[in-house]
Amino acid sequence: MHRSAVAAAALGMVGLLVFAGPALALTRGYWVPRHGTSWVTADSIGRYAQQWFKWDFALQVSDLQGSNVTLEVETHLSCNDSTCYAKVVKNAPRPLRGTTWDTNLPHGYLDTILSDDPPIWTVGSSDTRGVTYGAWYQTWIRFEPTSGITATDTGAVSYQIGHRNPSWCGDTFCIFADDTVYVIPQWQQVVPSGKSWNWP
Amino acid sequence: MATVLLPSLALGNTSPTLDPAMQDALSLAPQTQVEAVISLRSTMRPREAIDLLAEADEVLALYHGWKGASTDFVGGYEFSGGADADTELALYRASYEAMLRETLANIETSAAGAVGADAAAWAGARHDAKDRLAAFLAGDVPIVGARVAARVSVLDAWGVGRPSEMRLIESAQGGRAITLPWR
Repeated sequence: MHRSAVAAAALGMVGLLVFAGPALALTRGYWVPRHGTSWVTADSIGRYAQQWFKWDFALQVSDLQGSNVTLEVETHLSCNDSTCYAKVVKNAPRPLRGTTWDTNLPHGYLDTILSDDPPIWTVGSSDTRGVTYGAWYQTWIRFEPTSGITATDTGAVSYQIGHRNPSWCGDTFCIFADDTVYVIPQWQQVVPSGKSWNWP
Repeated sequence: MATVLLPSLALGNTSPTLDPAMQDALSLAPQTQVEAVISLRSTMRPREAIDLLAEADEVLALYHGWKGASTDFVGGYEFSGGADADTELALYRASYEAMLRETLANIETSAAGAVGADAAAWAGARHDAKDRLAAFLAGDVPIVGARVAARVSVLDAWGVGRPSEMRLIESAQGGRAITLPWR
């Protein structure tokens, strides 16, 4: 997601300008998880996306140790012909069930889907210091119960490193993307399913 | 009615100063609907948090922390706003319990055939997931360092250094332990 566009749209209503601040100086690849499994399927309550991911060595998480670094885990659905395994009905009354999300990343947050069409289902970390190698991390989002959804779809998974500006702000509207890597390219995950991946 | 987003309220900022640009924006719109994120200092149960926000026009999300064996989990539940508190709580519990059980199932599937360090990492994930499920089923799931997002309507002029919707929530709770992360 292009956070600057979201922030500008959100804050533009009151005439504010939002600046992304300086981009991170990255060593490409020293932040992307090396292994993972993407689940886009359903449980007894409804449909969901769960991402598992892991780094193997200290060097692989080195870019995540900066003081204002963020990470987003993004689940994409292709929604070909406007049919989706899950979608958001904008400007509609909220369904009678909340959206559950979860992560063991530090400083987790649920990202906005304000400007995503089709929606990108994202949970992130607003401060990645402390992310370590050798442990499995996970994110979870339960999809909203909406009409017009289909039984099957295709998906993709990307990871996005970014930075906070201003640095003290951890809100989704203060996070700006610096680099994005697809670990499951578009649209190579059959949905519903669980799919393992390795990167690079 | 415009919406003002206040990112400066997001994460535990306690300095009682306001970003000048935000101050200018807020001063232009005393009738503005404000989306604010309020940090709760104390350890709270979900029901307490719901009751705490009874004065808000719309509760957007309830974030709660988990204390696992080796990892802190943070999750949330975005309230529908269309049900009473008891119904919301039942939905929240059903959704979370299903998620925890499904997580365990996914771990078992992913761990099958894993060897060496990978197997050890999955064992750690399984241990954490079982801890969390047990704590949840025991009803022992406090909101630790919770963040609650609420949308409230601002109906009068701004106060000095702090908008009135903050006072609304604060005064409605009769001195509960609430930190207002206001920068």
